[in-house]
Amino acid sequence: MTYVFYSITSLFLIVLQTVILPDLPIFNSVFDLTAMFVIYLGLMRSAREGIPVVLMLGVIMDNLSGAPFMVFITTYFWLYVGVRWLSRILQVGMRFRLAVIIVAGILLENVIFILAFGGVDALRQMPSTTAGKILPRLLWALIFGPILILILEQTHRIWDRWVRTFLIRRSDSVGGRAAR
Amino acid sequence: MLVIVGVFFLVVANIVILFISSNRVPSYGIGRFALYLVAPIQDVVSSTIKVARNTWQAYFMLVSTAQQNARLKKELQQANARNSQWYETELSNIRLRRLLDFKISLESPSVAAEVIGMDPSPWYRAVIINKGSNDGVRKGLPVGIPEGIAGQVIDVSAAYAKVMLITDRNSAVDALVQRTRARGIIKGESTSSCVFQYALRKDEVNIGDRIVASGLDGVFPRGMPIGEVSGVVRRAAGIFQEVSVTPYVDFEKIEEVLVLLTPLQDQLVNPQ
Repeated sequence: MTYVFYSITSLFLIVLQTVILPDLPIFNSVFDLTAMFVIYLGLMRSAREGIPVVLMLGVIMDNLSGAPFMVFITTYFWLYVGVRWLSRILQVGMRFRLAVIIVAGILLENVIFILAFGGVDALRQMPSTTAGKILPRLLWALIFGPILILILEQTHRIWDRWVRTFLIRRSDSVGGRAAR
Repeated sequence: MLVIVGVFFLVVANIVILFISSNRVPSYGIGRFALYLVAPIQDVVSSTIKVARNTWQAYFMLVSTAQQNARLKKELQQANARNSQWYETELSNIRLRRLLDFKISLESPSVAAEVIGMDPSPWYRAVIINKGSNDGVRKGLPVGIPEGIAGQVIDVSAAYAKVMLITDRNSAVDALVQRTRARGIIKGESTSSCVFQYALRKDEVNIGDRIVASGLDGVFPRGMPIGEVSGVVRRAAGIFQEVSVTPYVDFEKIEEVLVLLTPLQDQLVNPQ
């Protein structure tokens, strides 16, 4: 059932990012919302659960984007690995740990994009464009990233609780019918 | 008999007194005392009643006004929503009329499509349109709008297609300067502008010059507008000049496009 949650959330974030936010000029330079979902999976969920979702997200985004195929799969996979590694080396009690991991994750994602985009050559050709694309995204991620992660965590918790209640009720009603 | 006479005299005396007092005697004494004593109370009571009546009436009026206000607000909201819908329809109508005019002016058959999604990455420029192979859309077909070239179909499913815009870094369109016929390649930069590459230094290119498709790439029809020269840099060394081009198409606001169903190379192979 948790994969149903992942599917719904992924779909919601993708539609938000590709259909709704482009119509709102203020959100033009907002960070990649699905990358934030990858960060959430890396931070809060097990690898067995997270990796299939990350790869599936990568495939979907590769299909929606003009980027060469595999760019998003590669980016999300390394983002996931990077986030898991960072979450291990940074102390749990560290202040701003979440913000540091998020900003590092978004930075890593954009670095991979730049490398795929045209390598160091592209970076040298248009440093102002690159900075203009990355800096606002980092700022957005710094401010709203932790909030989004917490929202995802809470929503997932509510979903789990709801599913558990639903399953218990269902098993009760099936048991009751069998007893009768 | 005595009683009758007494009553008669009493009536006559009363009439006489009434007659005299009504004509000559002002009300002194008891009359004024009564006025002093009762009038203020009357005034207070009368005022209180008036205030109460006014408050009561005003309350009811306020209630009805509030209800009327709420109703009018709702009506205004509905009217605004309808107005907005009509305005949107009007704008859509204008855009579709222009698209239809453009379609009629094209020699190749075409299909109109709506843009339903933008590229999720800031590093690439592509859009998703709501027409696919079921509508005759194929990979490699050119896509345009009345203002100019929009891009090229790079991926197709049954009902949808992905279009790489000319501002994408991987896009290249063979083009020429309409005034001087100087040739070059329009390359995207993944920003809102493009560059006109491989234009020789000796070629005359000025700011404001119109760039159109040359038709030599076998994809875009010859003469289809692309954009306007917005900057020219001629360095001391090198054989090419650096030319920036602002596309005529506003890719941030693109909503409908036209997919040309017969690419130029097919027209050249099968002229009818």
